[in-house]
Parts: sequence; C-alpha cells; structure tokens
Amino acid sequence: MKNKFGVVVQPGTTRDQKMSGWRVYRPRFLQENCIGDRACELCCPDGAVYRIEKRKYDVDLDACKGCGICAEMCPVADIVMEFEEEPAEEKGRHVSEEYTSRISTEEQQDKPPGKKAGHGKGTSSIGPGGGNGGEPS
Amino acid sequence: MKQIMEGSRAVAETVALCRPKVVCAYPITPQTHIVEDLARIITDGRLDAGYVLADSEFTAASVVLGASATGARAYTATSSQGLLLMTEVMFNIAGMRLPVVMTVANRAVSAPINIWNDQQDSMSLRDCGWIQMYAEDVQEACDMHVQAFAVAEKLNIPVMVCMDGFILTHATEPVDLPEAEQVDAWLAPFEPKFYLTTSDPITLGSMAGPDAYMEIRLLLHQAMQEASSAIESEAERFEKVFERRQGGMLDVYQAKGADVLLVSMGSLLGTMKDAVDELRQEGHKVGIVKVRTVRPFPRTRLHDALSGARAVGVIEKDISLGLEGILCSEIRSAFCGAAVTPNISSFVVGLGGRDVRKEHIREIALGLLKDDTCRVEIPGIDHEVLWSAHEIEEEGS
Repeated sequence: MKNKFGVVVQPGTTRDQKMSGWRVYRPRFLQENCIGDRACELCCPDGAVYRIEKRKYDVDLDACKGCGICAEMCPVADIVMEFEEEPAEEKGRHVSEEYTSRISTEEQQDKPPGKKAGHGKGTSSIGPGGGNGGEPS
Repeated sequence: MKQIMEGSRAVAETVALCRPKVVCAYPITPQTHIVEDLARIITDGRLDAGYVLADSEFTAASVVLGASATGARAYTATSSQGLLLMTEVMFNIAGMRLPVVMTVANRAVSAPINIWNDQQDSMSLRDCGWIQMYAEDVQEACDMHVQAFAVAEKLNIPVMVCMDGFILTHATEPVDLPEAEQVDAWLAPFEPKFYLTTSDPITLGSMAGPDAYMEIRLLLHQAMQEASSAIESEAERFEKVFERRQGGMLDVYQAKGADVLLVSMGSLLGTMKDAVDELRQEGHKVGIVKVRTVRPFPRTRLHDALSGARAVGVIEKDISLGLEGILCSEIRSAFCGAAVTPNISSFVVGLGGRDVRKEHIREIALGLLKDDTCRVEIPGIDHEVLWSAHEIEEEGS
C-alpha cells in the first residue's frame, strides 16, 4: 500500500528501533532459580523477554528500555538490574542468530502449508529476523 | 417528501440514509435524541450497521477512529463537555486522515454548567484539523450530513456538522428528507484509500520526528485549503439532484449595495434574516453574509463578499476570552493588507442559551448604521445579575 498523505507507514518497524540507549539500568537474567512462571515475559511492556526453555528466560537488549518491571515481578529474584556503565549501544547484546533462526523455523512449522509466515505471533515475534511478515525487505 | 419532525430525528434518519457501518456515541444533552434514534433505527433493522455502546466520549471517538481505519464509514455525535473529552482523539482522527463524520449539537461549556445553546464548544476545536460546517436550520443540517460524508471521503478529512442545540436539535420543523434511492445514487459506497487489514498490514499513527512532522502537518493544511473547492463542488452536485441549495462555503442574503453587513453562522441566521427583511423595508441598507464553513476558512470569498460594506458586524455565540468573538478575529484577518477595509465589529450574543431576538439584531444593525467605529460589544447583559455577582465577590474577599 502506498504511503497516502504521509500517514500510512510500513508495519513492524518497531523491531528496527534499537532501545538500548534508553537504559540507565539493564536487567541480567541469572538463570539460576527460575521457576518458569513467565512473570518477566508477560509483564515486559516491550515484549523484550523471551523463553529459551521451560525454566530459562533471557532478554533482547535491543528492545529493552531498562524499566525493571521484570526484576520487580520475578518472585525468586532471578533477575537483577545493573547500572549501565558504558554507553548502552556499545554493550547492546543481540539475540543470537541461532535463537532467531530457530523461531523462524518454528513459526514456519506452525503455519499451514502454502501460507506466508505471519508476524506478531505472541512472544515468538521478538528479535530481528523473527517472523517478519510485514517488514520491508 | 416533506414531513414535520424533530431536528434530531431528521438528522438521525438522514445519517441512516448515508449508510454508516459503525455508529458509536455516548449520550449527552442536547445530542441524545440523535443517537437514540439511530440506535432505534439500527435495532429495528432499518440500517445495517453496528451500534457500539461507549463508556465515554473518549471511547466513542476512539471507536469511530478504529472503525474508520478498518475502512468502515463511521459516525458519531456529541456536544459540549463530550466534545472536549474527545479532543485528543479528534486530533488523531484528523492526523490519520480518517473521514469520520460527527454531529455537534452546539452547547455551552462548563463552568458554570449549562446545557443550553452557544457555539463555544465547537469553535474552541476549530484547529483540530476537522472541516467544520454550521447549519442554519434543520433542513440544512440534514443536507449537510449527506454532503459531509461525500466531502470527508473525497479528501480523507473528517467533517464536523454543527447544529445549534435545542434550537435545531429539538425544534419540530418541516423537513424534506431525501429518498433512500436518491442518496444511494448520490453518495457512493465508501471506498477507503487505505485501511487496516491483516492480509496487507500497515501502520497508522506512527511517530514522526522533527524531520517529518512539519511536512505531514503541511499536507493536512494544504488538503484543508484545497477542501474549499470540494465543498463548493459537492454543494453544486447536491443541488442538481436534490434541488436545494444553502450555499457552499458561504452564502449572502440581501447583501446587494448594503452599507452594513451582518455576519453569522448557525441558527442565528434565521432570526437575522427576519430582522434584515424589516430593516430593508424601512429603507436601511443592511444585508447578511452567512458563514457555512469555519474550517477551511473562506478567507477570499469573505473578503469579496464584505469589501463593499462600510461596516461589518460579526454576530456570534462564542467568545475568545480576553479578545473578542472568534469569527470576528478571523474575518479581520481576511482583510490584512487590503486597500479598503470595512470597519469590523464583534458582537458576542446568546451565550449559554441567552435568547437572541429580532429586536436585538435590529439594535445591532441600527447601531452600526449610526456609528461604524470598530468595537467589541457584549449586548444584552443583565446588570442586576452582574451586580449581584460583584457583591458576592466583595463579601468573599
């Protein structure tokens, strides 16, 4: 669809926005006492927290603004907020290629054959390259 | 066919003929009858539309924003405090270029709380990017709604049709309601230029930084200015089929060779026309210029219509507190840099439902004939009420 009147833009562009620079504190997922209650994942206002396995979560620091809600919500204090000592952009940790490619494969497997991979499918759409149905390419 | 009916019902019936797909409103006096009647029309199965119940005007405006963004013809109506509660969403509707149509049943704004008519509510929202039209009588209010959908959808600019609360909404008048087939033939089904769909996703209302915001606002500003010709052409196209014309951007009445021209908008014009008829019979050269659209503002047309007069009296039911009547200021701007400028005076009348009668208009006109000095007047002040208010203030201090 053409950009009518300057008000219509491509969807899914939020994924291109790097939020690292917003942070004063960054969350560190200790991955020691996790009970897998998903509080961090469900409460993250930016959908930056993702699941690695049943009791193992991490955060996409490109999307995380450092609000600290995940650490606040965690019932077993398995997430700590640490002061950003260097400019956040430089320390920004990207979701591993291995992780994102796994999501893409999973998403494709979920879809009935013949249909394009969609986007915005719950938590599986996080991270660059994760299900980019509407992204400009 | 001509029928006798209440203004609100006539508007509801006309809106139904325009076949909106989504109607969402929150009731507020004096708009209530319009949306009650529309709810009934939809429940009776006479209009295939969704009537969405809202918990506030903010929600109502948000629902029509969303509905319009999915490509549905959407309609809402409100008044006074309700309109002010919608404000944030109204800027968004205009900024997203969604062709929503809204009826404003004009009513005073609190405080003091007052349910009666004036135009301070819609006039305070003249800068939100909506086209604003003001109806003189019930017939014009009905016809304006049909034109409003056409103009809005042609330009992707929302339209606000303003009709004076009670004076028009609750008046029972003869109305010539258009036939359904006529409206269907005149008003094409809404074909959105863009819409939200999962099969071809887009984003509306995204962020624009200092690098692009001004350009996007400029596009809306230019579209608003260009709307003038669409408003005129739709009024002409309407006249051809329905054989009624109330003017495009503005209209004139007994204006030929007038020394004094009175300018106004909305239902005041009916009273003014009667007063001017009498004054003309007595040999006074007084005429009327009726402003139909406040946004876009018919600057050039107003300049041309008014430049022959010695004095111009802008009579309006709103006030920019600390300055003068709002329309008056804008009319003054139409003469910026002009070689000959009539003396333009502001008359603020009828706030909070204060009755404006023929003799009040007559006094203003005769006053201007006698003394055309530029001035700001608020006639009809009851000094006893004013004094008692002063006394209360002094006691309290």
